[in-house]
Amino acid sequence: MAEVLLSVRDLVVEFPTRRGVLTAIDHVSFDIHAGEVLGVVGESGAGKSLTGAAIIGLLEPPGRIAGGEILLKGKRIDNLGAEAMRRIRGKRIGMVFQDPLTSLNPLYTIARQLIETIRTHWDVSEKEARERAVALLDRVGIPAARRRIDEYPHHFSGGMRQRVVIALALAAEPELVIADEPTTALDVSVQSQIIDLIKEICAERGAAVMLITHDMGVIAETADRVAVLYAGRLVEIGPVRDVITAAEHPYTRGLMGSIPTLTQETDRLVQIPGAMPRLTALPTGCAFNPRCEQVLARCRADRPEPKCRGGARQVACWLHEQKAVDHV
Amino acid sequence: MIAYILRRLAQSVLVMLVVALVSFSLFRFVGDPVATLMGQEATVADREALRERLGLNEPVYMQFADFAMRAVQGDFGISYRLQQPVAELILSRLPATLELAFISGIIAFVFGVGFGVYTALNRTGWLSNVIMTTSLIGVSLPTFLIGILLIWVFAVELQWLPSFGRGETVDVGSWRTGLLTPSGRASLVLPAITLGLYQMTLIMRLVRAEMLEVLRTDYIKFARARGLTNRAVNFGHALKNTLVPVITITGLQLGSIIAFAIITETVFQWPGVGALFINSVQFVDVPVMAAYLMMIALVFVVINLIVDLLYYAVDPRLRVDRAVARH
Amino acid sequence: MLKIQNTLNFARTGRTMMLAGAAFALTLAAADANTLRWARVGDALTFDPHSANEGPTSTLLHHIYETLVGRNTDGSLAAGLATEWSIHAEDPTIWVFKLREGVQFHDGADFTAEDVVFSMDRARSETSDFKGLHSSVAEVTAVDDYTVHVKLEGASPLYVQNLTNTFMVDKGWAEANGVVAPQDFKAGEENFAVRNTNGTGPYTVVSRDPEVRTVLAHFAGHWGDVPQVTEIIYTPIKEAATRVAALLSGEVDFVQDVPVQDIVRLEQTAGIKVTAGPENRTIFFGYDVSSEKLISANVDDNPFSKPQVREALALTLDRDAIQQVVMRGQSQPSGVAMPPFVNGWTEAMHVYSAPDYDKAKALLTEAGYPDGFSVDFHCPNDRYLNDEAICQAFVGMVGRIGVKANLVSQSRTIHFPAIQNNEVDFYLLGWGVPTFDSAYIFDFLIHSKEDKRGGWNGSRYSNPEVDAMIKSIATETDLVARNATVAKIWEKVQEDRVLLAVHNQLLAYAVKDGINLAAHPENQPKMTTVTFD
Ligand SMILES: Nc1ncnc2c1ncn2[C@@H]1O[C@H](COP(=O)(O)OP(=O)(O)OP(=O)(O)O)[C@@H](O)[C@H]1O
Ligand SMILES: [Mg+2]
Repeated sequence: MAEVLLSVRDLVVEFPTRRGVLTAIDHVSFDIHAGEVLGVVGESGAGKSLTGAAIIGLLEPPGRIAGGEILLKGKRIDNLGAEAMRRIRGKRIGMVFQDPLTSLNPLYTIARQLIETIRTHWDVSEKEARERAVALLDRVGIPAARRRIDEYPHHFSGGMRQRVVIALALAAEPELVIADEPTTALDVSVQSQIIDLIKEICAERGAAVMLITHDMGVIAETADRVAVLYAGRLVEIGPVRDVITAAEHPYTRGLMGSIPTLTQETDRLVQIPGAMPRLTALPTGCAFNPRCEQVLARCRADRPEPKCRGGARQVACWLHEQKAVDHV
Repeated sequence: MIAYILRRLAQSVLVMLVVALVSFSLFRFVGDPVATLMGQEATVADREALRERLGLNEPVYMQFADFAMRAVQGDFGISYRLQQPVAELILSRLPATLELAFISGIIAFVFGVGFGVYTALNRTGWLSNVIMTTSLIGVSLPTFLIGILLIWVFAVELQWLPSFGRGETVDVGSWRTGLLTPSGRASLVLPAITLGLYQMTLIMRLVRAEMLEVLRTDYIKFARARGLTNRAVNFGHALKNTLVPVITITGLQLGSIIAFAIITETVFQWPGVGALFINSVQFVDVPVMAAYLMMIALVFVVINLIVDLLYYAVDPRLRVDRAVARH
Repeated sequence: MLKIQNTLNFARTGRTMMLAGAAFALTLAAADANTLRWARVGDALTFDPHSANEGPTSTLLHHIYETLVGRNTDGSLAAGLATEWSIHAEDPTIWVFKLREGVQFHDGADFTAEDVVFSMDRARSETSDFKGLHSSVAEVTAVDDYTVHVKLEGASPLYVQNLTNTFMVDKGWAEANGVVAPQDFKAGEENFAVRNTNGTGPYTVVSRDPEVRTVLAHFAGHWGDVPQVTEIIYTPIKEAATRVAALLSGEVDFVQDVPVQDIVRLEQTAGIKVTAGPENRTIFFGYDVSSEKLISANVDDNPFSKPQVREALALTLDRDAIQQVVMRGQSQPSGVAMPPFVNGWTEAMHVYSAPDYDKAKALLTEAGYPDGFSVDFHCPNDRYLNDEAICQAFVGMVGRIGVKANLVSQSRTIHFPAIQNNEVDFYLLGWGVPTFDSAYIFDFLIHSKEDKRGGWNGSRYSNPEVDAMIKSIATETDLVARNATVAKIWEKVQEDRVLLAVHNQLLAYAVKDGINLAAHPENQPKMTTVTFD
């Protein structure tokens, strides 16, 4: 396997609120290898976006990293100064947001936004930057890029704009692209094109992708590995094929039930009865225990930690601990 | 574009006519010009004769028609009070008001935007709190009081700045300016601050609110995620978007500044059109009052037009919408 | 002057040299040895000498133009361009004026009798604002170069008193510049005399920016002694607080209109001197004494027509309280609506009684209003010192006997026409007496309303006997007999309580220490009388 590009270790993200400290990300650890696509799934509010924000150093105050570390090629980046972290953003870690309609500054032309980004990270002339920008647009599939580069965002359709966003995110050739639900806001007809584009273009440049999505179908088709988050905790992680065919955590199994067939679409993960508890009202033990069909007494008392289950898989569930113990 | 401007100008003429008509029908409640125009010895017959000479016995609509007819030709008559041609009086006072309003506008805009941005970017800093609290005091104190306070501190106690007037002026063509002499500039400081304070607070609060709003948008997050510097993000991206609505308000405020200058001009004995108007009201100097109100209406109309055009220039989305609408 | 300001800065503030220096920088341009920087509430409206019979206009014009006779600070007449004046020995309807010789206009023209004839005619013309003062003039003729006869329609022993604000202009200059008559608004063109001057006065106009700044310099060709003040910088400052601030900061030397509330504080300020004196203006309440029914009252008759009610109102008026509380001591309470300068004034009439609310209430009951009545009470709010506050105080006083006065305070531009048109029942009015004679009060306030008299008789008092006496004093040349009639008229006016006098206004001038200037009863201070210590 390729070298580890990004390593998240025991990440804790907290929000100090008037009613006490809220732990939104609770000791989450995972790795992303160079060039791989890591899918991140979980219900709304599970902490997917926060994880991405923590990695790229854009947690919004009062949110803060309260524990753990984030390493990029072995170097810690979670404790870098503001300026050093800024240099990493865009240049080494890129990000694509959910809504292409609102991701672009409406008052500036595409050219201006691209050139600005390129020149922030590369010491090139305006002209040179412009050439690169045109090439990038061309690459992400904007027809007549040379002409359209001087247009304003509102001249482009949603799908086209997301291509522009991708071009912007990749403008400085980052090693990792965090794509946070990049197709949710798009017309269904273009969703797969965009996913394909991200995958293709990243593969081309050897960039790894952290693909945050609700869409298990996308994960199944695109990701190499998948991480499942629940209430700010990592419940399962492993190679996509293994997780899909043999999910070990009951929550993951519920999620897999929601993989749509090609014709039928399922948007949100509604198959599991009940709802994810609010962070302020987490049960003791396993956070999933109120909804779990196979809940054990222990699940209500102690919190399971992710444990290696052979190969590259980890699961945080007492069921498997139980089995492991049984084997002894 | 040209058609649009022309249409707006046509509307403006209508607005001005309505303003003139309304002010004309209001003047009779201000009082009787004859009461101040004649000494106390005047007899009933004298007064009646003067009334007749001034055309005050005509019905209001006739007076208005007469006024409108002459006004179109640029003739606003003779001031009852100062016995000089009204158009000339107003034009001679306008530079003082415009200079004051312009400097106040700049102060209000620069400090308003500056403080607004600062307090938006440093939401919890102590300086932000100081600025926000002081600005609250700024809006709640009446202009008159602020002016008097400044005079007492800076003119009487510290003796740094003059308490009244425009200082020495220089005539540049027909424009009398105080900007070219040290005493003229010193004289401008207190009135400009007094006049601009309210608008500054307004702009500051608006900028702060807009900026906070803009800073939460996706394109700002995305700009940060691309590694743009804080400077580029805050000033290049956030501020420009903030300024779109701010420009409208600020532009319209310029009209208010000119209109509100009345109080400041009175406090500082600033020889502008506002002070002229106040004195005219007390004297029921109908020709000056009518011309002043027309001028203010014109200022608002023109500013509105300019603001629209500016808006149009700043926000590319409007251009397309209009273009599309025309097709 | 420079020295004065210097001491002021140190004496008053004891601040460092540097700050005093800053003050110098600001005022340097103006602080010349013989310059007087003069501030007052308003500017002269026009420089046309016959176009606006208005206080501030006349005040400034008195420095540029001159009159035949002037007024001393004690109210007596002073020689001006006329050195002597008398009633013609043979014809009592003619006033004879001997003119000063060797007088020059600013443009060098000689001042002679034909200029007087021209000026008098101009002042009497249709568009003049002074024509009311000369309505009894039949003809003005030049007897020789330095003698003028003013022929009146009837004998008028006090006519000369009307001349103190009638300025003399040069005939040749006026004709050459097309200003034979004052501004005619109907013509729609500005009169040359509005902005250009040519008088015989002690000062000439150096520069004029209306409502901003007027600079006058001593006229070397003036016939009088060279005054100590050789340059005047006149700046109107409308706002009272700013005006006082300008004096305290050393930007002006003399403030003519000192707000009543600042007098005490200014008196206590080192480096500032306040000179106060009585002004020739009386403040009184008027009421409709003759109509059948009032316009605004809640009763069907006219309470003011009953003597008991008028007496009751007089008994509620606490003049001392108004003087102390409203005027902060800056007024002269009086029992008669006439300033002490005026011919006809006596100590006895001036005396007023203390309020007696029980007696007032009893009188009101006797008059048939045991529960009082209500009536609108009109008051100007921009004309006299504390006018509105005086009215408010009186509302409280009459309220104690059950008279509910509903205060309506308005601008003088609404208030005055309402009085002249008999549209108010009960009001406050002030009256200045420029001729310094009771006839001026009688003519306008007491005589029945008719063509030339009774224009301000809002009381609608009409007494044929009194009217006859008023007419008679206009032509009575025997001053002893005339004064007897004046006394009789006053006796009747006081007995009938036609006017309810409140007080006479006081004038206060504030100057920097080292400047001496007496308060002028007509509020027409002359800078030629200023002396520096
Ligand atoms: N500013 C904040 N203050 C308090 N809690 C917050 C704040 N921002 C986020 N959270 C909490 O953090 C948790 C994780 O949020 P996050 O946006 O990462 O969810 P997500 O998994 O991306 O969900 P979605 O699928 O809806 O995007 C949520 O429960 C949310 O309530
Ligand atoms: Mg999210």
